[in-house]
Amino acid sequence: MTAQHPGADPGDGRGGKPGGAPGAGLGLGLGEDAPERTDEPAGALAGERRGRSAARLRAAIVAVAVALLVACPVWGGSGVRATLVLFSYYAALAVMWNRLAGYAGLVTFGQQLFIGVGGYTLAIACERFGVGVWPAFALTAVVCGVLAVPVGALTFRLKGGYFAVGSWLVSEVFRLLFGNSDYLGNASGLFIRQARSVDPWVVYYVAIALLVGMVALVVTALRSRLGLALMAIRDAEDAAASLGVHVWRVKLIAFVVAGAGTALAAALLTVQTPFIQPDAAFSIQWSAAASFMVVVGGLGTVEGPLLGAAVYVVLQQQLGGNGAVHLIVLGAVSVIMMLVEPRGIAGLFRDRLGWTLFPVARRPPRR
Amino acid sequence: MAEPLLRVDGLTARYGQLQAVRGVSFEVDAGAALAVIGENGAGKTTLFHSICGLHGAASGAVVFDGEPLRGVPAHAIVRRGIALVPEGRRIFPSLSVDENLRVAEDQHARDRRGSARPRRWTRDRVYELFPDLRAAARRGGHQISGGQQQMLAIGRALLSEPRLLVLDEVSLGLSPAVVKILYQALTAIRAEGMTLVFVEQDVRKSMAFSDHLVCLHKGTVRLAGRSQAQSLDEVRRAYFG
Amino acid sequence: MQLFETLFNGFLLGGLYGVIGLGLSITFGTMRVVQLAHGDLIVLAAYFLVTVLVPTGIPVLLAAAMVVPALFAVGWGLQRFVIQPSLGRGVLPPLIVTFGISTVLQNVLLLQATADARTLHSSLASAGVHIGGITVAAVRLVDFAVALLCLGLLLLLLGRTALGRALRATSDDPDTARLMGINPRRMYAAAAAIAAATGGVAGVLLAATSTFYPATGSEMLLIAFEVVVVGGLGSLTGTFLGGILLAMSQLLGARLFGPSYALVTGHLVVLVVLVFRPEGLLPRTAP
Repeated sequence: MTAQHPGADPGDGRGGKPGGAPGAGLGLGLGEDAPERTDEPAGALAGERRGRSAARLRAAIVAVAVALLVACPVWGGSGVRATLVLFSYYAALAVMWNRLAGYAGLVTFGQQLFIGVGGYTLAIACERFGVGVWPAFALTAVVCGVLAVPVGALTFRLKGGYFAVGSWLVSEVFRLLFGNSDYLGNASGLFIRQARSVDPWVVYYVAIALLVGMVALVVTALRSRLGLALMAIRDAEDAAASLGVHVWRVKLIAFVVAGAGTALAAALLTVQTPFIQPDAAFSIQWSAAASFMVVVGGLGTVEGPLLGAAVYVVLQQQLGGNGAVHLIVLGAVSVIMMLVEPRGIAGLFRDRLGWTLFPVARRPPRR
Repeated sequence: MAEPLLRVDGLTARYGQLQAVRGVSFEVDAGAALAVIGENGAGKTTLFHSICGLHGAASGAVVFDGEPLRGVPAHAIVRRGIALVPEGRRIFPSLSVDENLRVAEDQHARDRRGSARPRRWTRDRVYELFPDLRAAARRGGHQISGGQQQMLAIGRALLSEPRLLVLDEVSLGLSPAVVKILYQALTAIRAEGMTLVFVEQDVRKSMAFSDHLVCLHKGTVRLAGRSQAQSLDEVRRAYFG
Repeated sequence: MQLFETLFNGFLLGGLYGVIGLGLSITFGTMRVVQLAHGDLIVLAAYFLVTVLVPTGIPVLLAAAMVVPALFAVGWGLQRFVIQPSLGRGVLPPLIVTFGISTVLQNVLLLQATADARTLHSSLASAGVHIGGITVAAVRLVDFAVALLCLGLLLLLLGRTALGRALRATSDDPDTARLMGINPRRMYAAAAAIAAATGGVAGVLLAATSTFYPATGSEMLLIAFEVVVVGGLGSLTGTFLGGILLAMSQLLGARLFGPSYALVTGHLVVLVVLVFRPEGLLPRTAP
């Protein structure tokens, strides 16, 4: 007859119960997201009233932002458009990486697999099969989603850091194979002729739609049972399993979704470039960028990856063409962030000011 | 009246979200033996972990030989003279029996460099105390029986030259023959002046072997006093709350 | 005969691969941390030797000997000040931190030393040795000998010394190690320092054997990862054997499918091992 919580770790201080309260979207984020800090439930009525006006404020902010983005041709020129498209696919990459690492506990350095395969799918479909650019777009998501199944099945055997490097290894295999293939253009890759005639504003709107769609997907998924299962796995995998959560299946679904999402981001990138090369497409730098963006912006939050992507793009524009300096700064900042404020910028806002834009986000438990 | 060797004062500690130890206080004089009893989940292990520095206590004081222990890391507490024989024995599986002992011995040798105090415990003495271990000296830590593991855990703790030996669950899961050997050894250890704090599931045995006892229930002290002065009924009531 | 030559060369190269992986094995075995900057530490050692020490005119062997303690110090410093604070909060922080260190190291090297390929120019590199009917690169013999020596020293350290016992105890159970009076942090720092020193040896061998440039760090990490996974987590001898298996696979792949397929063959063999024997060749009972 023990009085111990499942999933509680002696000497760890975490002890959070798996699965948060469903629909806990109210409140300013101080109470419901930090069950291990408060001993009493947040005051009911006052909290709700605060919650409703806060929710309205949030909705307003999001609506304004989306409206601004949609109206871009009115107020912004090609420079702004290009930056926003850049921001979109970096943000999409970050959102997907965050979904894996921040919510499913799957830290991967192998997402570039889907960037490469996604990009090549688009390239082959357009160049070798004459498929239109936009149908090819959808195809990349399907191909990568399907690919994610065996890749996930294989790499899930590894845990922690070994999973991270293992996924990188799989991506390397593809890089080497694709780079050695005549059909795929060997080391010089493929040029997508069709993409040159695509209207840049169409690309822009697709980019925005992609980003908004992804954020919406993540938010709704997290509020669903699947999302709770995901977070339960992240927080305490063994406990979640003992409670009947199909750990492997949930992780695989998350992996497939992330693969498809990353592929779409890659397709967007490829359409814009518009060529694809194996070394660039399958480069570890994508994972470096994704992990840094998410860590700096705020792991395990919805707005975190967006903030991180913004920082990344700004830094890239400021530090100009010097890729090395850019990466040094990013690497150093993410190390410092991880040590000093592991919840990132979004975490800073959340803890110091109590602000959160998408309050379903459960941050990883603090020690 | 001499200062007690160990004084625990209002100790409170959490185990995850739960308050596992609430306001526990007791004293142990040098050379005495204190039995801590209580059912599973009563907080005994958390209490010991807090005293030995493996677990952060939320509030309260632990004073050993006049020095406060709150905030002192576990490895430093060993240096001060408290050794814990943990629940589950926690033998190092990839080390042999002899190496398990040597780990403690090596570290103590490091810690006491330059000190003039003679060693009281050596590996040889541990093997004398537990002849079963000598035969198993080369076997892997995970390859020996539960009883041998307990002997090894006690021997290991002795090699840190403690003044206070804390044992979490002396006889749990062990056969009566082994338990007899263990208590014979503990008697010999006590005869050398060792102070003991121990958990023993067999309440009668714990009362017979100790000078004082403390009964925990849901983290608080329900009964405390001289072991000889308690009636079995009172103890049973305190045990079950 | 040709096949035997390939296999023998693979065997020898495997020693180098093994020593590349030893450091990763040590850090993971002790702290459960995958030191993602390990490959870059190896390359850092190579650069230190070739661009800093050798140009001063110090004899090569002495310079090589100086690299090891230098890396020891770097490993200790990184552990003590950067990696240690990230421990104890789950899997992600040490991954991000070591990955960040890796990125910074690689790009700093890129800025300082440029992307030019470097190597240690020595007569060894081109010398061939004839054994039986086959020709073997002399430097590969040296690599294997040094790597084997390194493995032997590490096994001795872990098996016969007080520090080794304390490291193994900490690796088994850090909390109980505390109960023995051991400070796990000091053990982690020692492990990281030893791992980096091993990386120093690997770096020297790398410089002597082939060309390298900043991005080689990633290649080294992948090799280290592969040999540790194939060899079995927690076993140094396993890591060494994993190195031999990987190198042989690569050279066989080059022979059978062409030089550009060397790496892929190696990767595929690793993936196959992962599928059919995920615990590796020589898994330890206690992970």
